[in-house]
Amino acid sequence: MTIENYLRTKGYLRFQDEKIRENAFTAVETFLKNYAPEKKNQLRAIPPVINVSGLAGLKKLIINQMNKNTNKDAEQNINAFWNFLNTNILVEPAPDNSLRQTVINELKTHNLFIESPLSQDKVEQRKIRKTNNHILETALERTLLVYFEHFISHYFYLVKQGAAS
Amino acid sequence: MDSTVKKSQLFTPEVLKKIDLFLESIYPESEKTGLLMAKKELKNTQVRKLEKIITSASRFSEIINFIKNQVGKDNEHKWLPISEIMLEQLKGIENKAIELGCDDDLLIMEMKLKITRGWARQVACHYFYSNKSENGHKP
Repeated sequence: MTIENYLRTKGYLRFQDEKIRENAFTAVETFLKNYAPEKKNQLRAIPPVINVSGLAGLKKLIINQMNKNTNKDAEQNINAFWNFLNTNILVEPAPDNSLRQTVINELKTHNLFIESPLSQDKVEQRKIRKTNNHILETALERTLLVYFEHFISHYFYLVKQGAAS
Repeated sequence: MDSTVKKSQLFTPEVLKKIDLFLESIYPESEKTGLLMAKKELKNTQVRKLEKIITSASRFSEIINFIKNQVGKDNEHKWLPISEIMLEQLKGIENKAIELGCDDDLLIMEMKLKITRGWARQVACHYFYSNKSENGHKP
């Protein structure tokens, strides 16, 4: 099965509905356990960027934000949030509970990566790595909007619960 | 199951019966939710909006996220207690759909939505009834 065909299956929709939701909720809980809540507009900036420019746009946003903040008082928490997203989505090798690794595991379950026999020459191995990277980035890009739908709603929900208690 | 199977073919009479039995079993909890929504003085438009989201959702988690977003936006803190029991009920609905769906992704996805729509009708019905009763327009 190709990645494009897989992304059209009900299995993938269910993956977005359940496993990606669980992953996003856990990510939010982990972040809020360790850091103060981030400003709402920082989070709200994310979906429009993904809508327009996909994974490449999100990468640029995360890296720009990580490099940006010069106000020392605010710096620590803002950097923590964007660093968190960077670790969760972009960093390789992907940490175990990251979004990236969750997507990798799902693709492996469905045998969507091309296997690279050790006997193959380095040029071929590089080609296969590039193809597999494209497969991963295609799946990741398709998952991002739903991931952030889960992430943002749970984030504001928990922040509100915290404010109310 | 082939994803081109029509929705009308997905739910056999046996499955529909199991869904109905489950909806019967959660009816008392749905009543409590509707009553709480009336007590918290949610507006009719808010309840209609919830119904509309549930009817039009193509993914079960859209409904969960909508409820959480309502809490996030709500400065009067009406939605928080309501959301807690709603989310608990939706968790039960999801678990039941997965149990009845027998690993069939299409059936599970559609069943989650079908049961949730049945639940929403129960809740909305009790909200509107409680609202009318509170306002002294008993039948």
